[in-house]
Amino acid sequence: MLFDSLEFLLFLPAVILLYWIIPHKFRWLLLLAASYFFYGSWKAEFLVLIMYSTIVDYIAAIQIDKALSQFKKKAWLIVSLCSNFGVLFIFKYFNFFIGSRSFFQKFEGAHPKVEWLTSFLEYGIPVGISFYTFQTVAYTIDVYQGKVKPERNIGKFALFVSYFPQLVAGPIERFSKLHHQIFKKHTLDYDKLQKGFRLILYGMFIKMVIADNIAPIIDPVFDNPLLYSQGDNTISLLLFSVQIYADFHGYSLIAIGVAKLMGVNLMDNFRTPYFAFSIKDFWSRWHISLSNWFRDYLYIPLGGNKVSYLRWVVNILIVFIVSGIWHGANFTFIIWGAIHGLMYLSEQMIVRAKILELKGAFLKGVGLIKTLFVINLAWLFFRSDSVAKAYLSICKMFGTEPTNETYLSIRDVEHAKSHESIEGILSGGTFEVKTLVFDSIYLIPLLFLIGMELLIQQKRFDGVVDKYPFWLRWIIYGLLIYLVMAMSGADFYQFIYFQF
Amino acid sequence: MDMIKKIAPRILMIAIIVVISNFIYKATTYEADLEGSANVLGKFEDAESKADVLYFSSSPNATYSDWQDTDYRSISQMVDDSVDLKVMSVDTGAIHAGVFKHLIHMIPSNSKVKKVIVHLNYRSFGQGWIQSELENAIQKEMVFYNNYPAILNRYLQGLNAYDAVSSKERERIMLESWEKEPLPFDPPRTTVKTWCAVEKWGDWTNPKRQLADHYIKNFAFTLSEDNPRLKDYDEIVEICKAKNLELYFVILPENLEEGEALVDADLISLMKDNKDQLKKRYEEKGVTVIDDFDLLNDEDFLERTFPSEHYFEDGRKEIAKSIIKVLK
Repeated sequence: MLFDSLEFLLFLPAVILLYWIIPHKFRWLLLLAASYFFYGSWKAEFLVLIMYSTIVDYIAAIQIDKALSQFKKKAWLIVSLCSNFGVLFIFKYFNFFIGSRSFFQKFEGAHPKVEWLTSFLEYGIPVGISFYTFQTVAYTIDVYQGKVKPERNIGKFALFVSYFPQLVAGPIERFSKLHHQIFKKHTLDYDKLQKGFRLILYGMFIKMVIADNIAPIIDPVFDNPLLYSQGDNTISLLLFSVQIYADFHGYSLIAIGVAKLMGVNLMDNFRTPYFAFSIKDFWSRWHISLSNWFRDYLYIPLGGNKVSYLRWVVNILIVFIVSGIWHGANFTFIIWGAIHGLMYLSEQMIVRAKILELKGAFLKGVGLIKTLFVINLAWLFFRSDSVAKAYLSICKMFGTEPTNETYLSIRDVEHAKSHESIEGILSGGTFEVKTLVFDSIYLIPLLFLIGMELLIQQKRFDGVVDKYPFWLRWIIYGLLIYLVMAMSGADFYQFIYFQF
Repeated sequence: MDMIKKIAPRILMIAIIVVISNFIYKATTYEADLEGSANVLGKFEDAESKADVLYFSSSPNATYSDWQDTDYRSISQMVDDSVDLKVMSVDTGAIHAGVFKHLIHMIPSNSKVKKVIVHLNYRSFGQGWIQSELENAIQKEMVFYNNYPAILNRYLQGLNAYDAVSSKERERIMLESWEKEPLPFDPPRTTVKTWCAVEKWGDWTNPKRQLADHYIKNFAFTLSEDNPRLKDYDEIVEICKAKNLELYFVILPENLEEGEALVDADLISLMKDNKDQLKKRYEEKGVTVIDDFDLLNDEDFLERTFPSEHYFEDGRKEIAKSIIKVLK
């Protein structure tokens, strides 16, 4: 059940209404049932995995708390980490390492256990597995470090793991921040309801109108970069950076808005990231809950910056490359992470050497453009199916011809896929991205988004709108309602971050 | 109570915004949306107001060869020119009975339309078509057929409130059915997958091998009551009965000659068995079934790289003749 689906539009009011009607002591049971229903609506089989994670971490956390020796505590932490990352590895990375399904096909009929695993893996990556795995891992580490006390009620712990507003795409919350909010006795607050609805409306606008309309325009270009012009490839890359932001930020805003309807404040996940002056600044604005997770549970345990210079460099690279791998099992994600890591390091080296400080409007402007350029270059690898395709896109964008070897290998793949020659496709003609974008009525919502982002800056939509007079607020609501209803992307495109 | 006082006027404001939005939408982008994603609806509205007979079809009705044909008329036009009734087509590429049933359902009770002709395309019962990549677009298009305000239909499209299945999932379902659904033959032709693996024309690069594969994948299946297309045609029968419309199914010709040459006689016998089953089923339900299944020869078929129901001029004329005979 996606947030931008009819099912969710029916599910949400029913849950919210019941939540405020029933007595406080039963609310968590309602939310648990709703969360499991929400998650099971994708595939009921996936519930087995989330239950497994819940049970393992529930037991591990209690055992860590109870253990008297450090050895036992550590042993239970390792059990938790191995089981969580083990599940993540099997479902997300196993195919990558063993050469996909064909490996299993050899065993079909040979061993019932292998057959079972084959059929289970065929369901694809369980939705949101990377998100709830990281949330539960953070919980056991926090218990191990004595930062939080474990939850003794397994039902309540199950709700913390599966809390539906942020279950499938974050924000990745900490136990210390989310748990007490879920179980606190909330009273119906008009102000929170209003803010919640505002965030849901704005989130729907940027997800459904902006992101979902970009996808069908640029997907063919990334599938076959050679068939499109230099301009089309460049515009498509810029549009992808808008799409991924609108897709993920929109979904996060809806999640934050939905939680707010029940009185719960989730953390901000984005703060106008494309206005960042440096890569460091970017990562304090983009997917903030994940950045914080990597800082607290990987970077600092590795020694952070309290180590030798060389070790620090290695630590930074590890964090960024692991962040890339978190997104998926493909070299394109590793390169994406590496680009960010290397750029981060080069910026920090300049700062350390005091060569340049980003002060003054001009230098900040230069920093902003440079950061946008690097981010977009990295997005190219993130979006491309393979490194070879990313290379072809770069060649097209910079007006150079790809080397024969790469060109031929791509051509062969395409040929095998379509049984057609690439010349045949070329002669068929393609659309022009720039015509589709600049001659389209959809340019209006795109400009509206840019305007809103300039107004919002590091704040949040609900806070900004709050300051406007009543009539202006309702003009904005009216415009957003119209755009969402009349101009949403109508084609079926799943949320990009579900695959992570 | 305070809360209701605060919320109620805002709900009213939202309702007013939606009503105004509907007016703006209909005056601005609605027509373009219809043109882009539901153009058959416009055809239907036009034909329904003028015709005595509505002719529902996909591309076979109007596809012609611009290098060989001299008469470019569609089958429905040929029929229209030969009978006293006004026959108008409601057609566009790749649509099927799932779309026709919605459109037939929209024929008003006071309409002058008294007869309905529907193409019955054998290939549309196979998984290759049921799970076609175009299916999402068709399902999306059908949202506009709901009897709701235009902006609500558009919003439902945005919410993907249709049978939206990812192309990857469609491919998985299709491959699974080819792999698992049993065929009534001895090994190795027990499933589509194993049948395709029989190397009659050499390796994959041979165009004949590719075409033979297409024939097996598109035509080798057994009809079950779960088949969505079967349900669609059943519903069409029920809708026409309820609306007192005279219903004709035209079983479209398939290239049986080429199929037999490329694959074997067993494929043709399976196809004929399925076709007979369909014919019997609908005749028993009181439908006039025009059986053109083996009406045409290999040279009447236009496509050479894929088995389709696109015909040269002579083929279209033969089909038109069979329909005219029944209508007269």
